[in-house]
Amino acid sequence: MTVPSKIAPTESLPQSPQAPEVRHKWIESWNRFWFEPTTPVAMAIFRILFGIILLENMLVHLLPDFDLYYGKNSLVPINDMMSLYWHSSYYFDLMAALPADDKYIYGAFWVMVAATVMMILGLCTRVSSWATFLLLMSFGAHFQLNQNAGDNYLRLATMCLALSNAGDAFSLDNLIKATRQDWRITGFGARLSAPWAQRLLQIQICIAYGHTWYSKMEGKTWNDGTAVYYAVRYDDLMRFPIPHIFDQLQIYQLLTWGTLAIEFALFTFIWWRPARYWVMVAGLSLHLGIEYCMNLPMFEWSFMLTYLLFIYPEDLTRSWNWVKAKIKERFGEPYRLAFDGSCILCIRTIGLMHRLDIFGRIKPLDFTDKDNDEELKRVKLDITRAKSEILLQKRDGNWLGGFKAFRFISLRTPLLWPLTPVLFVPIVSFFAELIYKAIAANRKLILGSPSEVG
Amino acid sequence: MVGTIFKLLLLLAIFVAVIGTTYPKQRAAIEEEQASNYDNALIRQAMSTQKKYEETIKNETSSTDERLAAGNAYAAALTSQQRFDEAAKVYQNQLALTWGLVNNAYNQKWADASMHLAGALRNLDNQPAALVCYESVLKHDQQFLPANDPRIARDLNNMGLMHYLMGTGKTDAAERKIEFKTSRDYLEQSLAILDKNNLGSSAKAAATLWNLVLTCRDLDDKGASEQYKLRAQAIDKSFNRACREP
Repeated sequence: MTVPSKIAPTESLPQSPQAPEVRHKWIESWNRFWFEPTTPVAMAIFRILFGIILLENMLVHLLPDFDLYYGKNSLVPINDMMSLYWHSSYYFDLMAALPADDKYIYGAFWVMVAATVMMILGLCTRVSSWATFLLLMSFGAHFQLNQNAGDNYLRLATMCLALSNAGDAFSLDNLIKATRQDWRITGFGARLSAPWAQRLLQIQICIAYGHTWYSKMEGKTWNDGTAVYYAVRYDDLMRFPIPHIFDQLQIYQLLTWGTLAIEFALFTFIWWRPARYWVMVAGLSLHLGIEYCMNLPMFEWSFMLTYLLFIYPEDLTRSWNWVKAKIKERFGEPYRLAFDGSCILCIRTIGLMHRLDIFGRIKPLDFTDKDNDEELKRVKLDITRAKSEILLQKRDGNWLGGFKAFRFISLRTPLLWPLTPVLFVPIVSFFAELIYKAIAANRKLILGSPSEVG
Repeated sequence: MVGTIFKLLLLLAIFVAVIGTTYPKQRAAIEEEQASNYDNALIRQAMSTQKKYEETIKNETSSTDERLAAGNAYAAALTSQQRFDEAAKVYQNQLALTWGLVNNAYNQKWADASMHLAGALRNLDNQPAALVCYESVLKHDQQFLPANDPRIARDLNNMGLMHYLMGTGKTDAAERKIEFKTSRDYLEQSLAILDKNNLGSSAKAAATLWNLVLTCRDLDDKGASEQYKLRAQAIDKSFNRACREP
């Protein structure tokens, strides 16, 4: 708030914002950054892909040498780990709290794998991600010698996932929750929530880049431009050699100083909207380059995946709409799916199918809605038949009903593909048809109609 | 809000339960490690022997033998910790303590202290100083012991070994050869005394023979080296131990 001054000299001076106003602006920006409700979609995609990396780490990197690391006769048994590495620090190790028997350690491992799978699927996401985090921490403490910076980052990112609302989109939790709601009222969009956990992870990765950049700046070879030459020849971590044609000092200088420039941008310019995506592209090329030359399991991928969290929600939506438009262009208009809007069971089923239909191949059409009358006449919907089963219009204009319509949809909905082969087994389809008819005939008795459930 | 607080408390409870259960195990593991750790055991041994040594030295009523035993134990503990310079100082004190014990006769305790000091100096890689110690023992033994006493053979072997080690440290070939020749002389004298005492097949003889193998080899007298080697191997075999190829 500015108060007009009566003192003449100050009136001619440029007006600067008053201190409380500036403070208010900062507080507002702070609150907006941490707490302004935003879509959890980015975090949900991150949850799925990051979970796959976690799973790969567990099954490919840990499991083959499990006894060597964690068994009773491991390289460094837990008592030695405690006395020689933990010293007097407090560590969270669930297995150390259990009786000293390999079966408990194996049990904890498979619980961790199961929790990770549940986290990927978004089933009891909050509990499963906390369980994954606590067990990751336990295994990290139980044998500290196989840990590197990548493992530390996996733990930190899992903690942020556990704190976030990553289960509010692309999750079984969300699907189950949605089956209890009327999508015509709530819509299909994910519930908005404060993104502070996502921001924590964004800041965490910036700290990582800032730290690595600062450490490199202190090194001699990073300043004289030869560091990459040595890094790509580090025998223990080497994957593919740099092609001989690029084995030139100038190229190594470019790569070395380029790395410094990109890492600097990754904790500074990434926060500047016009530069963000360019910085991310540079970061991706840096990590893919490292991935080509060096074998650092899951390290590069966990960092690259974190970039997902820097994509603006509107750009995510725009990108997905572009994908859907391309699919529509290639495979034609979505299929009309006529349903009875006066039946709660039908509404929920259609809602569920629509949520699973991530490429937008279905267009729900409520034949009880007057607004749809004109379209219904145009597509020549048999209302009498539609009252007894859901109907899907094929390209030739004919309508498929009931179970067959569902099977047709499953073929065109990638998330239902695991189920599709089963639906084509004759005996299954025979019984499914019967079950469908039985449910359809009593559909209003099962959950009632909208007015009855309120 | 209540739900969030409950979840936080639950998480806190999990942390407290797990860390509370593991911490006593952690303390027990640390204590066990400290008790069984080899380095810690050496430190404890050095501390206790040091205490006993200092108390014995301060105690005016303690006998020379008690002082020597305490000093030897302390110096041995220091040697185990590779604190050779401190061990050498203790042995030097032993030397002072034993020097005047016997007049115009053989002084076994002084000879032992000198040998210990020479060993500590060898560990410190100070061969010339060790040689002085061994030489003084040799002179003392030659003065007061019968000419063919096996202890003189021991001293000659030590002298031979010292000259060999000093020779290996010389860069000039001529200087090296002089040391090796001196070494061979001492070692062959030592072996002759052992033979005279019918100890030619003893472990002591084997040690001298192996020293001769090296010395002759480095003097380019391959034939003699091979002969000594066969003899040394035969003795080792008679003791049922693996032949030590240098």
